[in-house]
Amino acid sequence: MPESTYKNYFLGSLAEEPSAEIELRVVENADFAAEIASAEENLIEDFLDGRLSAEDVHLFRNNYLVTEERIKNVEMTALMRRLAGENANNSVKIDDSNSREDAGFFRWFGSLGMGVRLAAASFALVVVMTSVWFILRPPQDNELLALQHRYEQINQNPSSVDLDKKLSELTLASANLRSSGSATELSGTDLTENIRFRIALPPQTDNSTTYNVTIFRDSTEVFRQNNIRPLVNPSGPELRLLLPREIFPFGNYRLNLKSGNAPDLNYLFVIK
Amino acid sequence: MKINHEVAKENFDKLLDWLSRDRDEAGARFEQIRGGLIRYFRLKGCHEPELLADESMNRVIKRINNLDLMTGASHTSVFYGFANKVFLEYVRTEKRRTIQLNDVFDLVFVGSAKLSADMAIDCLRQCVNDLNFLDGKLIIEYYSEDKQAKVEARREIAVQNEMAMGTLHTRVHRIKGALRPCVEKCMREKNTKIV
Repeated sequence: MPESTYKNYFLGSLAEEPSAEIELRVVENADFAAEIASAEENLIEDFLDGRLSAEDVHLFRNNYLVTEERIKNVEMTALMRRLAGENANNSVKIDDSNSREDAGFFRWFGSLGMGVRLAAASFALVVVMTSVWFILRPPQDNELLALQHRYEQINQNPSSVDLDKKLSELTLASANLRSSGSATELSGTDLTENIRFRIALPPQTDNSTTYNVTIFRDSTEVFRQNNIRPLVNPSGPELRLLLPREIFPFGNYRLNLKSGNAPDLNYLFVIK
Repeated sequence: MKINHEVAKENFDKLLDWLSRDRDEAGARFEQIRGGLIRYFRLKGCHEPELLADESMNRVIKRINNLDLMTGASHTSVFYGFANKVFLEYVRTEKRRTIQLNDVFDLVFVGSAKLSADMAIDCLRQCVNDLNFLDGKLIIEYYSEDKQAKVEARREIAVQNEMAMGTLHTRVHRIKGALRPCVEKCMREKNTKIV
């Protein structure tokens, strides 16, 4: 059936017989019910987008919004769109803030009304909480494994890690390689979607060595990358990694490198 | 299903016989039709579709002796006829509300309680946060675009998640369905109602 038929059904402008036919099919066929539910959702969004004609708006209000359930459903859709819209706006602005000198995001943020700022701040909190949740998931979670695999592939080609110049970057030296064991800090508020890690390696490292990288937040393993090759620069060997922001909510981290029988290297950092 | 105890077992047996000679098959068919009626009441925007489906089923059982089962009418159409009447009764008891809609956000503010949009959004954020990561991400992405852009964006989401568009819609519908009671509960806890 064309979607216009469903639309007319919900607006109450479809004749009785075809309406009954639709309803009977819903009783008989779950797939059809899913199809018409999707059409209903489209109608609601058309209404919210202001894409219905004046006549259809009239019908929508008088013939569709006749039960509490439907009203609540429309309200939920409106809320979802608003939340998602805030998310989209935030993402754009955060990307704009990649240039720290410009500080465009903060100027923009400061210019917003208090309500919007609170909403944006709340949203940031949600992002962080979601990330926390993400990290606390068991490591066997398929999605986490898929994410690790995806980044592992990126990280096995060091040049691809450097393609994007506008990345948040964290340079790390192992506690074994420097006198101070203090952790490097990175502000979590203006991280780009991906973060480039530059990890200093012992001077004797050659580019045939491979490393298994494991990241711990406190004592919980949150991410793992295997068989990553180092990059040997004139200034010394290093490992470059591209890692997703979503695995780094605020907290204390330890990045552990293992390579064959060599002693482990540990790097501490803090996302503040 | 809540069985109405006034419904005689004899009637119920007769109904099952009408659905199928095989008792197991009849039971399965009974549940299948009940599921269909729940979908029907959901389509009609009823608050408790399960209860209304049960009410319809009970009425059919109760009147099975008065029905002419030899007319050749399909099982579903008989149940549907009863469900239709149950729905009309339901609608009569539903209090119609007039909604004044000036823009999208007014929609959030309908009802006597005059919701604070920020409060509702806060609740929704909390609830999205309680979802599993994938569902939360999916539903936010799904609603990120509006008007024309949403069609293409959603097609992309479906491709990225390796699912058909229909599956995507169904999944979003399900996630949204799960979010609503959570938002309502949160709003109640904040001493406000969503409507």
